[in-house]
Amino acid sequence: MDMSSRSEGALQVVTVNASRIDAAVAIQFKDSMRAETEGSAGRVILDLRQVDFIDSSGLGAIVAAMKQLGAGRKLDLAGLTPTVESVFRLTRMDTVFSLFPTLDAALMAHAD
Amino acid sequence: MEQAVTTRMADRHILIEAKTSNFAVREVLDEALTLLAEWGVPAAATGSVHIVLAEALNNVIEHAYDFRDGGRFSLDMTLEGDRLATVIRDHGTPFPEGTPPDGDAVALGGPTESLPEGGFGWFMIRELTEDLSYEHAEGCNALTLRFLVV
Repeated sequence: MDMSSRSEGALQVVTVNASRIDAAVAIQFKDSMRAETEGSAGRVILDLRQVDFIDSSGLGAIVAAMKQLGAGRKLDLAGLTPTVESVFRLTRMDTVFSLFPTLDAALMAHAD
Repeated sequence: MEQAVTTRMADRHILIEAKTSNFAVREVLDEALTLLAEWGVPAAATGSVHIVLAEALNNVIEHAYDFRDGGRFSLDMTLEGDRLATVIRDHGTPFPEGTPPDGDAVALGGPTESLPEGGFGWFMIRELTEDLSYEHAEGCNALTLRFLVV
């Protein structure tokens, strides 16, 4: 799964460069997220602006990615496109993750 | 790799036939979404159809055919006014109790470590469809999912 990562101060921004996180690639997503986040500490913002669609496997993989971060680290989600956002709202997973409409909004929320 | 085959049965009635493989669900969905756009179905309604069909087709790969490649399945779609009827057929294992799962909502309370990573699919299917019915006859499963596409 094509992703890229950068630091923004104490935050890590992981950008998914694929248009779908679904059953076909859920395991690769989990593995790639583990690789990107295991060497760092602190909050991670998952940039989903290029993702048009997730299914329940993709949702589960995002939950797994949050669990992989370990205690005390949060996974925030930014730039959710309409169908992706509707999956989070339908399953009430918008009560578990902080959702930001844009990457800037997510970055500003943590700027102290 | 075998490609999905689309047959136009009539105006706004198509049949997409495919065999299970790593990306078969994506292929069939892409065909279906292209056609829904051609038929003028609004984006929000198409999004709901996309979610439901992805879950139901994944179910064919994972449960009807137990992740095997080469299993035949099809998606039949008909649009009449604002009613979309879809039928997914396969020749694999039927639903265990002869009926699709209830899809009860998944509880989300509790610590992060105990958050569920699955069990959302049938809940979403039932929430986003107007009607759902299932028939198993002569070795064929047929799941009918109806949508209001306003």
